[in-house]
Amino acid sequence: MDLKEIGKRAENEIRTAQNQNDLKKIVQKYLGKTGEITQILHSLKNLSNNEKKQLGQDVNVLKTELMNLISSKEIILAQEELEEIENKTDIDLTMPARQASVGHLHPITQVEDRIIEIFSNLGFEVVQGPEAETEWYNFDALNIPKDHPARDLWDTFWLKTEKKMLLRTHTSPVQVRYMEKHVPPIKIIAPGRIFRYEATDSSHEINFYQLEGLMIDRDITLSDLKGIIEKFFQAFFGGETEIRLRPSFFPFTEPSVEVDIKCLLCKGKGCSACSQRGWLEMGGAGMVHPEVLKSVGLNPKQWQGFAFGMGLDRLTMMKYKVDNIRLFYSGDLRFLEQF
Amino acid sequence: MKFSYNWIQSYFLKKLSKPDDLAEILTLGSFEVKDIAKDKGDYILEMDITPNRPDCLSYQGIAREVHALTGMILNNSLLKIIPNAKAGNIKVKNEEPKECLRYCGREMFNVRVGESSKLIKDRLVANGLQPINSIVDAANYVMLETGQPLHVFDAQKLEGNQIIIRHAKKGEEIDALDENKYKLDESILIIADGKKPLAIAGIKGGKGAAISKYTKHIFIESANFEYKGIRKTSRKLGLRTDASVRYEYGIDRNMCNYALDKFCSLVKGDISKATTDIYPTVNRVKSRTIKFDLSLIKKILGLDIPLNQVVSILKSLDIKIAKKNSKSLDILIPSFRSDLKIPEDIIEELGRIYGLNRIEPNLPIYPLTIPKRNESVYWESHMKNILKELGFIETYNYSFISHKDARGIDSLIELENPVSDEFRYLRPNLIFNLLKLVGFNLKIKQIQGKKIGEYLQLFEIGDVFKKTKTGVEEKRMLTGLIWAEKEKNGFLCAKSLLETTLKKLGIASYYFDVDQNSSDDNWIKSKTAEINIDGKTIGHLGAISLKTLKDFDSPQWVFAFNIELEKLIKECDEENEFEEIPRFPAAIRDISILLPREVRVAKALKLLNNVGNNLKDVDLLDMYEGKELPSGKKNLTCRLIYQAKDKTLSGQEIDLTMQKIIKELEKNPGWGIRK
Repeated sequence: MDLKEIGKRAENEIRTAQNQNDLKKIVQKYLGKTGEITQILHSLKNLSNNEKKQLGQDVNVLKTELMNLISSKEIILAQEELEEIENKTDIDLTMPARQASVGHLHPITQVEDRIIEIFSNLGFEVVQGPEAETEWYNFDALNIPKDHPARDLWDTFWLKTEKKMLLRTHTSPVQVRYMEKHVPPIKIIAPGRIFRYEATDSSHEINFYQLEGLMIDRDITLSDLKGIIEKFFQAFFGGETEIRLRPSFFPFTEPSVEVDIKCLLCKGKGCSACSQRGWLEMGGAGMVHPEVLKSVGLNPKQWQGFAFGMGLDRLTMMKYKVDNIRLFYSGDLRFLEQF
Repeated sequence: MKFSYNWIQSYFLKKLSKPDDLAEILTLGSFEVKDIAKDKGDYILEMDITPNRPDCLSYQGIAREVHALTGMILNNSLLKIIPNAKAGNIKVKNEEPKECLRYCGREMFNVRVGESSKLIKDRLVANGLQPINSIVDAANYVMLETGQPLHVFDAQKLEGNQIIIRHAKKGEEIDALDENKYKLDESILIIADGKKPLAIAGIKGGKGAAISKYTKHIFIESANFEYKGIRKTSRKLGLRTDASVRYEYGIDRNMCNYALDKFCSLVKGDISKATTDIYPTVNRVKSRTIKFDLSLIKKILGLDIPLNQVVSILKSLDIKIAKKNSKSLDILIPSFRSDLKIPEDIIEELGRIYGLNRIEPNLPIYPLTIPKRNESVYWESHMKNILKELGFIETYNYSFISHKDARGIDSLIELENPVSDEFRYLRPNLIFNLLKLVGFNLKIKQIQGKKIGEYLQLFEIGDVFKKTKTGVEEKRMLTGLIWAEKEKNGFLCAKSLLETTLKKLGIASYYFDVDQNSSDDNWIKSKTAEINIDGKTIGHLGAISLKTLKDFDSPQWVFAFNIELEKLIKECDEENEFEEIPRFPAAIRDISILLPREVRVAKALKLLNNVGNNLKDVDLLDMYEGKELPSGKKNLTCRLIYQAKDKTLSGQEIDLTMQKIIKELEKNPGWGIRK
């Protein structure tokens, strides 16, 4: 029997095997118990020692060669079979995806969380207080006298209660309450819902959210206010957001300022978002008025600092380009599910 | 307030910056210019004058600001009038010197009532005032220019030749120049003659002594009224006028005579040599000196302003320096700047005129500390995120409910001044407004042809209000609503969501109890449980009554949990100890229990839990109440999972336990094990 001929034949059969089953048959045919090569090996015992040695070597080489070929072919065939399943399974990539059902946080919550995070990083504590307030905490303690036109700056909802009470028009009462109980240094922010008695439109609501901040120490200046506020806006809006201060009036701060940021869209050139002004009004601020410090029992000769306030609704509107404040309180899922 | 660019220009010889640039200068130094409108050959600047600056409700005031901000020289021409007529016969009596702080007047004879000059008419129109006649126009013009309101009476119409400043009498009325009739009362200060009210003091004139085209002899009033009274009357009558606004701001009492002179200089006629000036000593404005430390500038602004700059800024604002040394200044405040009272006020003036943009931002240096965590804020935020993960949508609703929504609930807090019936009361709970959203949103989905899911999950965290004996009880609540197409799913869904929330908040020891003493008919009593933690009730879980759903246009069924946030937060716990992953295999036994229908599942589960050792978990696989069962029975299939920490449990051990359990179960009459 020609060993070479057997080798060639086997090799050819392995190469053309179509599947693992073919391959198994080839193994049986050549290397199985009664396989052709196995039989040659069995027949060796009838030969002389010399012949035995020579032929034995040749058969073993061939056997090893074939086994290598088979295992390589086996890997290829296994891969081909997996690919065949993959190819048979039809997935239309253009089919619309199934919508995962997830919950949503209100956009103002998300903005508030971010703001709290920024100020916490700067070392500010978060403080809260009641929404139904007394005149003292909302006005008197803040140097806003009764019957003064300055009170007109805050259109107020009054409650039909025995003791005269109102819905807070800002979160400043929270700061007053805090100052009464704490010795400086003070670094706090007070986010919360506030109320104004006014006609509603796309930028005015009867209830909305404010964030106020307060920092009191021995020598906190207006320049520090500018620094902290600028850092905040840069963190919130990103990049090199620029701010400017301009004069204003609040009974509880002296000097009082208005804080503007350079329009994020036009970078100060003037566009429709900033009504061609180049700047956007973000909130009021100033150095805490000595009368306010006195009314909470702090000596204005020893302590000084700044306070600021800004609208959370407005910040949220800017961040998500929402053009109507009333959407926040509509409970319309077509709106809420976008956040 | 509106200001004409051309009129401001008339105070300066040099040309002003272009309107846009002037607006920028004023915005950065004085008041925000909200709008610039082109008006023929002029520009109208709209400015919000802050309540502390009555002096700037006038062209003179704004011109002074422009002078201070730009250094441009004011074109101060001296006012000169020549009184040439003998004294008139009008007597003035001020009965209320506490409210009429100063009353100046002057008579003019032989005036001719006609049309005003084009300049005056144009300027009035530019400021939104309608020209009427030369006399009334002159009075209005002077008010715009000086900020001092004037009122002119036809002197021949004054009964008894007298003017009395007094409170109105009950029943008195006035026919005002605005064609309205106002009912007066004793709180209202009026200007009257011997017989009738002539004007509501400082607010509006009446027809009684109005100027007509036949008027020859006039009496001009230039008075100062106390702001509180003006404010009260203006509110009471719902009447806000150019004059009342100025008085409310609190204008300078020293302006009265100047304004009179200015009027006389504009009107042709003979000016009386005598003037009336009732100005009680107690009402006189005292000149004010403020001493301030120059070091305060840097201390407050964080910026140094050179002394020579300080001096020139103060001068430009008409503030005189009485004493000066290297450390401090004594300065004299002009009477028109009643807002400047303390050194900080002066710092503000210096800062804004020097330029707030020259203040560099600085980051203060302070000890590095970790701010104290606000537990409510922390847990609230955590809670919101858990609920979001569980598929809830957070909503913000109004803090108000409508008259209709109130549905006879007592202890509601009503607003003194609601914007509408829709927002008449403070919300007593979060449920009502949330319920409205269910129907609203389902309807929208339907209209849009969207598939409605099996569930709708909404929540809100917010304050609710209740009237108490002492005032207001305000509570922060967490309310979640689950609307479910299928009734039973809804309850189990609500319960599972709530349980997961509680577990995630670190609360394990909660349990639900039937609410025995609930009187709240917004819930179905038999389908509502108390949520308890350590014996304290923190809220409720259950089904909203069908009547309430109907009232709020919500479809059936809605399940809710309503939790007092403060109580919940007290139980929240961050501690969470790792439990070792079991090393020995678990053994599983399923058991089917047949029991009377009315028995609560909790009873069976409790029994399974209490017998034998090494029980890791009990799961209810199925509850069946079908026809195949004996009548009045239901079948529970439970899976018991046994697992020990220290060994593999033998089948024998578990079988023994199972026998015990079966024995215990069968002790109950009517219970049996299905094999």
